[in-house]
Amino acid sequence: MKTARPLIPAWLGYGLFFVLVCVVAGLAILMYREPETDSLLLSWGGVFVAALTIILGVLFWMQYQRDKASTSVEAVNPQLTGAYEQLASCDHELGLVRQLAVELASAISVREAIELTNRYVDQIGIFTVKSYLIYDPRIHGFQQLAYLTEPVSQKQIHALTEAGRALLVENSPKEITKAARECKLDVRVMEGDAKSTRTLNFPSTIVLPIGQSNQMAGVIVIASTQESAIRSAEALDSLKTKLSILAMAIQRVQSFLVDQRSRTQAVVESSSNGVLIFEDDGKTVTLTNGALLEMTGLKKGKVTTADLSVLFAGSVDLESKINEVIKKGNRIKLSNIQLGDRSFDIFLTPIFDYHEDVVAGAIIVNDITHFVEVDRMKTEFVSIASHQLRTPLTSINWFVEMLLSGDVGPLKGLQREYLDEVLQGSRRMASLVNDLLNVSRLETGRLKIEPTPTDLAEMIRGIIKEAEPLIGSKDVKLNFTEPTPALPSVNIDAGLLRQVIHNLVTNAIRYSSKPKSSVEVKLSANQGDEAGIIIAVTDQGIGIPESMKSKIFEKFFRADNAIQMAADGSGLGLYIAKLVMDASGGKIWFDTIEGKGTTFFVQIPISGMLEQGGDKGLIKQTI
Amino acid sequence: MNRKYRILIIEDEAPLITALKQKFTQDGYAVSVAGNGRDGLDSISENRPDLILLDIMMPKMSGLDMLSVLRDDPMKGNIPVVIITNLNAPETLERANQLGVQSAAFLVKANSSLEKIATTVADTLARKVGNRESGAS
Repeated sequence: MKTARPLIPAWLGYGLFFVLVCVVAGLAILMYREPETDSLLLSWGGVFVAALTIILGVLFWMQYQRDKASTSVEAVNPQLTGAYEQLASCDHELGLVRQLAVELASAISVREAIELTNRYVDQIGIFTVKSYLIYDPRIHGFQQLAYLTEPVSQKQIHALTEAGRALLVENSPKEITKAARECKLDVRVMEGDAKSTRTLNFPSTIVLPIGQSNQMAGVIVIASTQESAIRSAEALDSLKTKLSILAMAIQRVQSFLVDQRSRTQAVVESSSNGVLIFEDDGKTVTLTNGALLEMTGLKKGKVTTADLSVLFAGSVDLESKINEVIKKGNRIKLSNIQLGDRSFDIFLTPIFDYHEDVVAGAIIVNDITHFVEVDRMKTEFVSIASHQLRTPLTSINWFVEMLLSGDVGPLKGLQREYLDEVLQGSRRMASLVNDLLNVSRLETGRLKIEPTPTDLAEMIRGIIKEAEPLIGSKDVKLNFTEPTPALPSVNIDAGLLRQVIHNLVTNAIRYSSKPKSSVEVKLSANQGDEAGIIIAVTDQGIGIPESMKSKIFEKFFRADNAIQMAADGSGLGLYIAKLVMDASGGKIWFDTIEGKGTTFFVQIPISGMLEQGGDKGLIKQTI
Repeated sequence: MNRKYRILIIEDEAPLITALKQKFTQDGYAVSVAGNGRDGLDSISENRPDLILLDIMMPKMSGLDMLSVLRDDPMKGNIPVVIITNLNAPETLERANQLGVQSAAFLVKANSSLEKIATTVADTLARKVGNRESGAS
């Protein structure tokens, strides 16, 4: 604020006033000495001069007063300026506090809140270490986070944090005091390098509570390698204010987390699967359920992921899997993990926040001991049952074969014909047993796929030759269209693909009834987007009714018109074909018009069938 | 061939023995029979067969257990074996492979005609003779 400058300086005013008084006095004397000459004029002049003198006198007196006032205003001015600057700085501070409050209001995790606050801590000085102990009501322990600006040894970080812990033990709400007393320091370094071995000197170390009394959220330790790290006492005060806001933000986040946890707990507790939720440090466990404790025999309370890793150490490296979940955000399934005499499937899954960052992870443990046992019993049953079924079938097959060969005497026409029927029926039965065994294998284990370079055209010619006798008395022609030029060898599991195509060709023959019909097998290669090798089997048979199209690949399904036409057939062939094609990266589909015919398409990737490790192959019909 | 090939059938199912014996006798083999693995081992010592037709699931001693004992015998350990079984779990085939039985000589009875068995036996014997001759030259 500027004061107005006086028109003339005060001293000049006083000077002029004095000169004027002298002039007036002189004139008054003059008028008195010459009264005879024009006295009237002179007396009017005297009056005028006197009046002017009075006016001027008043003016100069006002000026004098004004100058006096101005001098006292100037004396007050610096004080006013100081007050104004202070007000401006408070306003700025308030702005920062408001900005922090707004930012913290949108923080959805304790860490986010801390990292926002860190920026404000950095504004009041340079701190090598900022170490936080934040009370977490979910674990009755502390989140221990440190931020470094230069390498510091883990030992020193712990020593500094220990000072924070001491403050919490001495002076904090009862619950926090208890947790602080029991807490084991294991500070997680969020930023910076904690692998240093040198010892730094920290002349200024400050321990500040985060929040006051019942609003206390924890403690911060800030340490600097410089003598006076903090700019001013005011700066420290402003930091305290900001920490109170941080405390509120943390408590808001935590009350939300506790609420979420209690909802999740309620749901998870009812699950028969063991559930454990861990923080993104890969160690801290924030939630377990009764099923997990029962399965693992761990004690409720202080369970860590390390306890679980130790437990399963014999079968799986759980620790590295947990790290994979946190670092890469992968979902992992571990099948049939043994623990003692029990078997488990273990799922590990990341939990994301709305930034799509991994903020936690879950382990779900499914006790599959019972299923494994049932599966073993089923396999054993199928194996024994099939063996028991096969033995009498073998007798029938072999003796009929001997009779038909005429080795034990010649047969008459009808005898031969009937025995042929017996042999066919018996072989179909053997084939059905094979299908049942195959389905059982495909469903209980991984199908072993071993692709080797194979000449597909040659393989198909073989299948056709084998299938030709099935035509029997039917008026069906079996044709094969090969691509020109011939396809190079393709990587396929010949045993498996042969079974698929053989099934399609025999079906095509079986369900062809019209005279002069044909079954066309076509081998071709597609380029472009839908690249692949395609084997199409087209018949002019009964077709598939519209209502049954969706069920055609289902286990044991046979369309009504198919059952009417041929009583045999297990309803397993297409089911097995689909399992094989799906497992090997291929496709199988069909086009059909009821009463006109059907085309089945099998597509194999250009690169060949996908290899798959496994211990189960399909049983091949030899005969 | 001047002498008949001797073939030992180790099988516990009487009807199947009958059929096999009939088939191989007719095809010109000298056939002997044992009803389980243990009797099979005795019969091998006695008859010195050129080839063994071996079932797996049998009482007293299974075919595979017998085969593992046989393979340890330095004198008789290399007698060719054709397995005929109705038990074709993958692990059974794998174990048979480990005991020196090729997959082609592992036949599922219900899926194989007598003719198929006879062909496999003839092929296996031919391979054995071939090996011996190539080894001698």
